[in-house]
Amino acid sequence: MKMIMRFTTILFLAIFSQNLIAQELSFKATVSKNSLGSNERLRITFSINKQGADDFTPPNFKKFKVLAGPMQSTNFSYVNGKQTFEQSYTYTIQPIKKGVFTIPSATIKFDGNTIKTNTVKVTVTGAVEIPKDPNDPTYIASQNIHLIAEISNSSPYVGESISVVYKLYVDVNNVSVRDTREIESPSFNGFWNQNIDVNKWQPKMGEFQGKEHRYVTVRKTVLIPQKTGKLIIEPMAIEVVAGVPVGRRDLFGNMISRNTTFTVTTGTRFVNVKALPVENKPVNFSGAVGDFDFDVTASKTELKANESAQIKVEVSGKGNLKLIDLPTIETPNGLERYEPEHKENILTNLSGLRGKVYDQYTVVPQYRGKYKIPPVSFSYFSLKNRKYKTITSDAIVMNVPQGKTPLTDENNTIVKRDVISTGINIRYISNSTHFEPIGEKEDFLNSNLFYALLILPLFSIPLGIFIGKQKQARDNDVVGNKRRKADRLARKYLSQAKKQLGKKEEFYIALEKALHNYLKAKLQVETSDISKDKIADILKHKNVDESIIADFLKVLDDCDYARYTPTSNVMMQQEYDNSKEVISKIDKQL
Amino acid sequence: MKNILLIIILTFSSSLLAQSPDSLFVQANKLYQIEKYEEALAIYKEIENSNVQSDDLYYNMANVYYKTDQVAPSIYYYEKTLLLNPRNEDAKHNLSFAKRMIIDNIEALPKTLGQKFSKSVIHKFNYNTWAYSAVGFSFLFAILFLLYHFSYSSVNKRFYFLSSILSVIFIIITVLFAYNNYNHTKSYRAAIIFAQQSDVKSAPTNASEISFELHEGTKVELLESLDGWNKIKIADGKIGWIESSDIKELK
Repeated sequence: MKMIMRFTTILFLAIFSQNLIAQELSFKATVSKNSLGSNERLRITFSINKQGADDFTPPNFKKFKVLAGPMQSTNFSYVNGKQTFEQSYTYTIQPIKKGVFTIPSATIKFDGNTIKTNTVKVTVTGAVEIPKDPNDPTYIASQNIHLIAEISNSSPYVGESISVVYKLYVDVNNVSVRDTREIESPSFNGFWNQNIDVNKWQPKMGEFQGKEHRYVTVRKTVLIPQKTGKLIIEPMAIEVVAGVPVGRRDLFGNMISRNTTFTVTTGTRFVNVKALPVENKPVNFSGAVGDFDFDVTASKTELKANESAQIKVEVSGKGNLKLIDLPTIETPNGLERYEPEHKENILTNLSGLRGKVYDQYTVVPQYRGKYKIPPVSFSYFSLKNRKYKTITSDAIVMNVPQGKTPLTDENNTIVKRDVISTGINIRYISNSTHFEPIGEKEDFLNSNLFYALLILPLFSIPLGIFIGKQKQARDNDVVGNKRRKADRLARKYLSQAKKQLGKKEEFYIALEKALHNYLKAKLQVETSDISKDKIADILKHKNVDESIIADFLKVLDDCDYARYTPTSNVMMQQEYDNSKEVISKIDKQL
Repeated sequence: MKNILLIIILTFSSSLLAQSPDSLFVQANKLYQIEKYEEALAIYKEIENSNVQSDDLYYNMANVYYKTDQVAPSIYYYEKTLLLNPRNEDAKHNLSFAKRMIIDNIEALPKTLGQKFSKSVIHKFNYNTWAYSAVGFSFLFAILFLLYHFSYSSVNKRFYFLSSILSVIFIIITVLFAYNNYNHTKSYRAAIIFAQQSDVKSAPTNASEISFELHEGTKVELLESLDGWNKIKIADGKIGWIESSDIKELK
């Protein structure tokens, strides 16, 4: 029984221990070699022997470059009842420099715990000569076939055109090319590019690396850098089927060669693009680089309204013509401008673009008159002397002698006028004028005179009323009026006599005449020829007082006498006064 | 001795003749007639500098500029003609031609009834003309009032009363117009853009952003000025700052 017990214990232990061994967790790092040359590669594998690990974190390969990986593999086997499991992560790495390095541990999570691998020490020695098989046909071919990208200028300005020519050099003494296939086209990011067609692969002789080679031009491209900085030209790759002689001859003495396929590539090329200088950069510069000519021309400058003319804005020359923004023209109101027609006539060759681009505008004047299209300028960066240049066109004046007259601001109606064919459509200058001195000409408004004249009539109203009132009062005074009237009459008739005062003869004639004239006017009787008695009768008939009649006749008599008697000035004056008095008296009574 | 005197008199009179603006004007007009614009312009300028003015002179100068395709000066002088004599029909007519050469197309703000009235009536005449007519109406009023006062028949009285009231109204209107016109004339300052193209900025500094751009010949209203900058307003109501060297004020 004791024996049985013991056996069972051993059995149990055995089974148990076996189980224990199978269950032991290990996570380790292994390398393909611990010592290598700096041009060799190394494989490192991190493996765990238990299922269920998660969250693998690779170590930091500081002095190594990861070429490939991680490659993950899982291996599960069951041999003779024994179960094995392996999960691994493999990296291919290459050392960056020489020395002894320690690759740190990687980590993984298992069952909630983080487990680490061991660290690995690696010794990197100098570059090791990788043995080459000189008889390997691919190797021979690669030594004798080269693809070269020739860049005309590796540090151009932005906008300056450069060219890339791809040439395939073949040393025909050693290999022959059977077939080629372009497997990777170059790409030009940051460049405007245009291929120049290569029609036929024309083999030419040329020297390469000091040896005579035969070459063909595979591709030609014109590039115009669009941005500054280091721009990459991605490589071009060509798959070449090359015939490599194996060194034996066939029955007929011809060389036997073996075909091999391999890829030639140009490798990545860089172009360092310079920025255009900032100083003296014109405001209207829009990126034109090269050598240009600029011109604005009109198809005609003399036309009728509603007829069309073409205006051409043209840039010609050499440079990045396809990338130029042509300046636009501006036209006055009445000159309608339509969207331009853009035309190009450009030749592309290795030295760049050459030709001309132009915008052709159609303009239609709507009214009679003159229209001025202002000058337009075009700026470019001249590669010849590395300076900015600006060309300004002349202004174009279009003369439209016939057509509608423009609307005038005043009434907004179209004034129809006869068509004048002289071409002069503005009115002529004025030929006479009146000049006045410039300066502080006193304004009438606000002047004292203005205020005075404005107020004066208002003040004159009371004055006028006062005068009017007085006049009325006088008009109402009948006697006074009669007297004033008679005085006025007497003065009127005697005025002639008064002038003759002092000259005896003339005075009395005038006086007598005046008296007669008075009667004539008053009585409508011609009295000069009738006797004094008759006059007295007529006057009496008119109810004139006797005494006044007597006075009147006395004056007439005096006139007669005085002519023949000596008189003095005093007497004449007296006579004058008498007659004046008599006339007023008679007048009052008539 | 006699000869010398004669020569002195002749030279003196001829020099007088040469300096008289009227004879210069005639001379320049003759040059214009034979299309010697440059020479004519030189003489017109000489007259302009001799401290005299006339709307005809400015009008002729504007025509010369028009003939020689100089947009801004042409418009400047037409406007100046109209400033001096707002009723110069020839200048108005030719200005509408010269304006064809302006690039800017500014849609003028629609005018209110009041603005239309003020343009077609109040600004049709100079404020002095309004002042003279106010004085005229004042006299007319005094006469009509006296006639009213002294007339006896009721028909006459009614007529004179009404017409005198009417002339009082006219006095008030013409005086108001005169002052309205006067204030506008004194405060309104305009200028013509002389630069081929000019940026109008949002503030009077070079660094400020461009609000809009104007071209040669466009008329702007001046609002204020500051350190070589002028605040301007254009016909559609836009406001901005322009460099004073780009414009020439009408005055």
